Amino acid sequence: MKFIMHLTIQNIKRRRVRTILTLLGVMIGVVAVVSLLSLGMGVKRELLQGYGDDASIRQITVQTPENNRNKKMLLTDHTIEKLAKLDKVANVYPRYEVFANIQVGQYTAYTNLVGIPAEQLSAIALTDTSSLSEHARKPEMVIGNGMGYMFFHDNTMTSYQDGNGDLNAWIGEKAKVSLGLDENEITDRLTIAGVMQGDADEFSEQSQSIYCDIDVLRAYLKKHAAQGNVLGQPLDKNGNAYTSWVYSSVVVEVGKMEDVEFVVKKLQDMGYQTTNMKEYRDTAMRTVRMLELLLGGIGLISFLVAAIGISNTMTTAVYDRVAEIGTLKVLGCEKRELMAMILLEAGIYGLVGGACGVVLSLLFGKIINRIAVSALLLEAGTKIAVITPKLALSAVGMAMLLGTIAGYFPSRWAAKLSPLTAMRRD
Amino acid sequence: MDIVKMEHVTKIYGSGDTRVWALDDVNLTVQKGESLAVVGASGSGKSTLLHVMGGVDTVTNGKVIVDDRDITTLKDEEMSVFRRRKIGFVFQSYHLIPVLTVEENIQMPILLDHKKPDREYIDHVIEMLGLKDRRKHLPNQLSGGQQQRAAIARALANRPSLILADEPTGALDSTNGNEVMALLQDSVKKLNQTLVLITHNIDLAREADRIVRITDGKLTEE
Repeated sequence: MKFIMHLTIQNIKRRRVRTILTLLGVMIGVVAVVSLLSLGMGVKRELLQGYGDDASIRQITVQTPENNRNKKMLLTDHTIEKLAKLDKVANVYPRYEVFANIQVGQYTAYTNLVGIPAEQLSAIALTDTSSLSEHARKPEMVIGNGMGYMFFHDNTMTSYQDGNGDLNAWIGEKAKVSLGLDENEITDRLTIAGVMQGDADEFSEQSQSIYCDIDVLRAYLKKHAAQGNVLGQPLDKNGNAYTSWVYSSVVVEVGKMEDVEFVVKKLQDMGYQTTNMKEYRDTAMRTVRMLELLLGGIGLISFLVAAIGISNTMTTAVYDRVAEIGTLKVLGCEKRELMAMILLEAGIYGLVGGACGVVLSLLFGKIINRIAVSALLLEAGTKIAVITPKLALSAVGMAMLLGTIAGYFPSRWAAKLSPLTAMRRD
Repeated sequence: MDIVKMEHVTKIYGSGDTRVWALDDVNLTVQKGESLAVVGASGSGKSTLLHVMGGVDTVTNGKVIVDDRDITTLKDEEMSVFRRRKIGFVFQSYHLIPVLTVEENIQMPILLDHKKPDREYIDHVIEMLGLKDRRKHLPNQLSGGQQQRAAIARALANRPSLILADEPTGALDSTNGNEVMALLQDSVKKLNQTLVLITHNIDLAREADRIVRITDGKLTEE
């Protein structure tokens, strides 16, 4: 085998131009596949980042439908109990939202103050927890890391974030807050107790929200109720409040991602309105998958052309060497060794071409990324083309495999040649 | 001792009206250490005789016993092994592998047999054939005579039972041809090898111990 290997290498070296052209073909094929696939992967990653992490995808927000204000459809503690018993559901908790006009110094934000249970609130990572008190009597606000974009200067109308303001400077600050929109409005000073960890530009559902403890909020609103009407509580046809407390929405957390559709279906069958990121993400995923298929398909075609190139080279090589192969046979070279010789040569074209192609793709990827960043005004360092080690290795492996397969028929031909051909060529 | 024993060997090419008897009931024995020349016109069947003897071509009928083995019963792969161990071939147009050096070409039958070449013996053969300064050259850097000498060295390299030479001087001018022929005969004698040589040059044939003539597939002793 060592001898066959030596002979193969010598043969490759002898036909320089042909070798280079064949390698070039393989390289172009590999560059096409790798660049296009990596582009697809990069686009997918960028897109999916906008749909939040796995935990938020497993959450379904349940609301009473606008067109069905039936008493039975109201979201109460009873609803929570009922939903918690559903199959595949891991956790259920209520949200209570009231419109809020929050003023810190000269900056004002119009947003919702969202009450969530204490255990949900404490699960949120904060930059600083020292201002949180254990037994608050007034709602303490925990603000999202992206909230800097929601506070606007009263005169200049620029956002706090664009003015390079730091939200952390507001921790412990008492903001002037107006809750509600109408004559029932409650105006008070509430403490900003914490800021969520994370970059201001990192968008998530939480990053542009303001949370507080739902029980504290509920007690506070009850205490400030005007003429028995609690802020945010719906009224029946006769203008009277319901006996049980009605939440704004209920969050249903599903145990496993694959069960999300099942639970959504169930909730919708019950008549509720649901919001979930998964369907948006799935739609986006389908688009991305089509894009990947398209890109991969184009790449595959160039890969196949490269393989045909190898096959062509090897067929010509066998044709050119008929006498030589015949001589080898007469001198006792076995069929399988002859096949190995041709397959090895084809495989080497695949391997070397593939490796060079991957190196070239890495270079290409860098250029694509640089162009994409400047042309599409992306954040510096954004990687549109991502060449993972797995992709690089499988590209080389595929090139080698395809090369070897391409060499199969020429190698069979070589093995079948009669030793007499050598002697007849005299 | 008989190295080759052919019994009632027939080789027919084609079928029906185009049938050609390349070998017609050929009986032949070759002794160890003997050199035998086969002469005949072109198309007489002398090449077929050589191919059959070397296990390159099959027979239609009869037995070909080489070194006590009936090679007509061997399978393809067994035949490959048989050829590289027992037979040394010398062709009219040398058939050296162009990408291998002279030395690598000479050692090829041994390397194809997955064995380590016997350095001393190989050196001896190379020296005997006057290729000492040429061992690292590629075949196309050599003259025709030198290339054929390398081919002879290759045929001798694995100490075969039988050397088969098919018009070894056919591509050389007479001076070179005579020189190569003398070297071939000389090496065969020195190494106590057996040689079967095909030629249409009767002067060259006379150098052999024995001459047989083949006409239309039939063999006659001279």
